[in-house]
Amino acid sequence: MDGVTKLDEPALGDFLRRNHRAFLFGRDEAGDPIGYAMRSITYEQAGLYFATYTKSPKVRHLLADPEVACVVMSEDRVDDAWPSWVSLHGRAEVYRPSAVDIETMLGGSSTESRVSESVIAKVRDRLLSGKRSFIRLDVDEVRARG
Amino acid sequence: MADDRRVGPKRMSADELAAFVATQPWGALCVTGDDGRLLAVPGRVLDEHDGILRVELAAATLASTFEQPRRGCVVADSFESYDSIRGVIVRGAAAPAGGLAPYPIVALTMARTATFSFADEPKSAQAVPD
Repeated sequence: MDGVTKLDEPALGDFLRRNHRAFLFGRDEAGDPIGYAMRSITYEQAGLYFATYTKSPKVRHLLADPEVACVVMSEDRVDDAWPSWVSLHGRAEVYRPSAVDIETMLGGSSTESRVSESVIAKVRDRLLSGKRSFIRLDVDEVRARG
Repeated sequence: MADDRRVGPKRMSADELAAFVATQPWGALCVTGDDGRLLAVPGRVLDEHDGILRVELAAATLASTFEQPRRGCVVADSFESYDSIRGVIVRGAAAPAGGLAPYPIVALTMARTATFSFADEPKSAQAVPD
């Protein structure tokens, strides 16, 4: 275990707000790990936020068992060097956000040059319509960092 | 991942998957640890032979977790541009396969494999990844 990194450590929050490449894992119907490649939106108050389709299998899995593990990884590595990363553990809450929540979270997300404004607008519209939901990963432990 | 389930990302062909794996994509492996909780660490896919995916892990102080067989899931992707997102999700038995702490290597039996690719999709059919 890392055992050192605290959830309120500024460097952790900075890392999770700047880096959006995430691999989110829950459990399938058999209780085995199952994962998804995700882009996080932002990190606020020990919560890491994602948007996903309300009818997606991952939502079904997370509602059945909210325990999650997640790796967030930087994308600024050089050559074959390992990227910076953090391994999180916590519980996922899936919910339909209010318009204010949507603006707050999307507005708090750092710029991602590969995701255009038109894509963000689509995500916003689908959150407003309920086609997409937020996943909030309530982090209870930083398992390790590298 | 799909915006509209009828026009979502396509699956990779076997050749496309082989080409993707050959790029040694980065991702993560998750297992259930000795304490019964999910544990995920970063990984880099090394290669695939006969349905076995070898993944090098950055396990840091958690390396001992990967010294015994467990059920596992590897997710790896590439996101060089929004129009070329590709990735793979592999589930199966994860067994130690060498490497030295803190970078052990795990061999994952590809019992269940799902792929996704937005590459070469017409713009009108592209979906918003989740």
